Amino acid sequence: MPKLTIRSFATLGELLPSKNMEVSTSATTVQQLIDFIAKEYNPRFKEQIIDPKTGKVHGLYKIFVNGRDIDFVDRLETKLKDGDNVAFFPPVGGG
Amino acid sequence: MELKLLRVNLSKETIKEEKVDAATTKKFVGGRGIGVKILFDELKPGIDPLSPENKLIFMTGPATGTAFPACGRFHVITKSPLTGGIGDSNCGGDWGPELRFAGFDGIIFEGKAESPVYLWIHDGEAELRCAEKYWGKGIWDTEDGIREELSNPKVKFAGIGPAGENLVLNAAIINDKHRAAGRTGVGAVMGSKNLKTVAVYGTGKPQVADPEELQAAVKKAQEKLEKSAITNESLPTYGTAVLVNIINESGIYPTRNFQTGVFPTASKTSGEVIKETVLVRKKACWGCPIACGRVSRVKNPPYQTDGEGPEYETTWSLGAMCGIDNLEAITKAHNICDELGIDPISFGSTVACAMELYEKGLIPKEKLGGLEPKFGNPQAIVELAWRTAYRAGFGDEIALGAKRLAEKYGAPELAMHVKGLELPAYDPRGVKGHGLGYATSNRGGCHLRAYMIAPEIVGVPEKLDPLKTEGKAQWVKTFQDIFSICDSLVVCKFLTFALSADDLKDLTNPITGWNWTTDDLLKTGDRIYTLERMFINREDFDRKDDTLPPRLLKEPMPEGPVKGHVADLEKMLDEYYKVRGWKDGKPTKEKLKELGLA
Ligand code: SF4
Repeated sequence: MPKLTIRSFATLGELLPSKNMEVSTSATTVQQLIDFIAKEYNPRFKEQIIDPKTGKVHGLYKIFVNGRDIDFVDRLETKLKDGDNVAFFPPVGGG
Repeated sequence: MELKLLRVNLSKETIKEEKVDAATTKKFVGGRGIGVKILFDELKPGIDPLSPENKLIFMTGPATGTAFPACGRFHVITKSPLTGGIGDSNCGGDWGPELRFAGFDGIIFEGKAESPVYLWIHDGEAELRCAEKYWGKGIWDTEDGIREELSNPKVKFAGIGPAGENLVLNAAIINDKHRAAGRTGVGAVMGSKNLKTVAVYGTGKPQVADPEELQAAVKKAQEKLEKSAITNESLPTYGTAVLVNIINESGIYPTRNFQTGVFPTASKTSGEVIKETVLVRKKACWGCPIACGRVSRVKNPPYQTDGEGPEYETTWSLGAMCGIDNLEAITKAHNICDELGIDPISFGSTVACAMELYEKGLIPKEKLGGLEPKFGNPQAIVELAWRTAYRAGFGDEIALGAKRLAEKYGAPELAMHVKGLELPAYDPRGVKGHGLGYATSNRGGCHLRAYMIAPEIVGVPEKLDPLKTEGKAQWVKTFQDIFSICDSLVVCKFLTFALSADDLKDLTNPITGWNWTTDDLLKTGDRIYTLERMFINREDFDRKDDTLPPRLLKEPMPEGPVKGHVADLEKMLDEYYKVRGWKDGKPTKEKLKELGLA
């Protein structure tokens, strides 16, 4: 099964057993990966990120696949492959 | 609304009160706007910034010390000794509001005192006092000493440490012990005037035109600030260094003097780790509901320290920029900068430049007094902070800033600066609009004239693709104009994570009684930005200076998510001049007429 690295930051990092995990999963899209994480680790992770009304990522939450914001790829349908690095961020700002 | 200023001639030891009339105040607001107006009108082009001919202006604005959220700020404006152009820096803490409570909106210093002095302002009175016994002392001892001398524990200070006294070109003015008006070498100008500090205490209250309407606007603004997960959650919980991870994951975290945008151990210095390790508690500037400040402590040697920070920028400049991931050393170096009065961004960047020069064999070992300035050496950054403030040994060369240092050793391309000011913590090869912001910033390499990271990474007020250039010029201009207003009111730019230009206008009108539309607000910002440009045009800055270091324009990012990208500037620059009404970096006559500047 393909292996993915999952990194979750700030408040999201506190919802998973580790902020930096390697998982084997059959998920081939970001949406499937989020469903997988919700089922295997913590359903709250998905509730935080996905707006149940729209099924889209909540405003200002961000998901990067290999450093690229999925909003500029194929959003939740962005494809995943073996070795990909997926990063999840709650709203963050500074300067 | 008029403004009341003090004009202090240090050579003649005279102090006079004067007014900024209502029409000029409406045109330039306060803070940065009024500061650049005074500088433009009163300074002869070409003067030496460290001569008595330069002026050093401390300004608050109409919002400072009122109910406007996050208004505990002030602005310092002068001609920069680091860049030769406009020098200015904005700062939080308590000092700005205190100046207004004492009855003044700003102070213009001119000339040079014969021997060290400080200015003591208290409830409408001002006097120059001898500061000889504090000269040579750090910021913290000076504040404590003068508080005792004045027998008033509530006095607030904005002053210099040894770095400013020794005319270190990246010297800061520090207020309230830990807040830095850091950029462009304003501390060196203060040192050149033999002015140690400005002590203020007041019991008054700034007047506002319509207190009830202001309360209503504040309530609305507060609701928005509470609803924003950035201003209500991430900034107070993790501080500004919450950005470390997302910027590093985006591949734009400048590492080892911008040689790459990926620092593999960046997370060891992130806001999350700061929270778990050195953080004692969060802290707010006066009147700020956000509280992004950090009070911190390192308990054990060798980097034991009590103080504040680090912030996102210092975590980077004293960290990844120098290849360092030791949070305790970074916190220690940050505190040395606060205590001795150094701008940590310019200082860290200059050390990084020295590290690259050294690793390339361009700085001979005997110059270094036993130091080993290699990337990743935490001891070097701590040691060099001391040496720079006192201009001891190789610190004397770090005191020059990156541009002069790299030129001295025959490799000017290794200084990561724009117009002589060292760049901050985002690599523009992967955030194209932000690069245009750096290039066109009037004060030089700076992220606070146009913070394109907000739309290009954070997604506020809307998300823009960081790798595209289309339409970015207009965005940069709008940001520059809004931030000119923030710096002139004077309020914190972090408000704009939750509040729009409309909201800023709704908060300003009840204070000033101006009846601004949002267009009026933007046009006023445009006027201030353009006047600054006129100031630097007079000092020979134009299109040739609206650029980026050659590394960022020519060397593709070597790795990470933005591998292969360079900063695309020229096309955006043409578009930018068009939307600004400028030609080759200079405002056109028509534009000046339109803005009432001709
Ligand atoms: S947001 Fe942070 S920097 Fe801005 S005023 Fe508040 S505490 Fe100060």
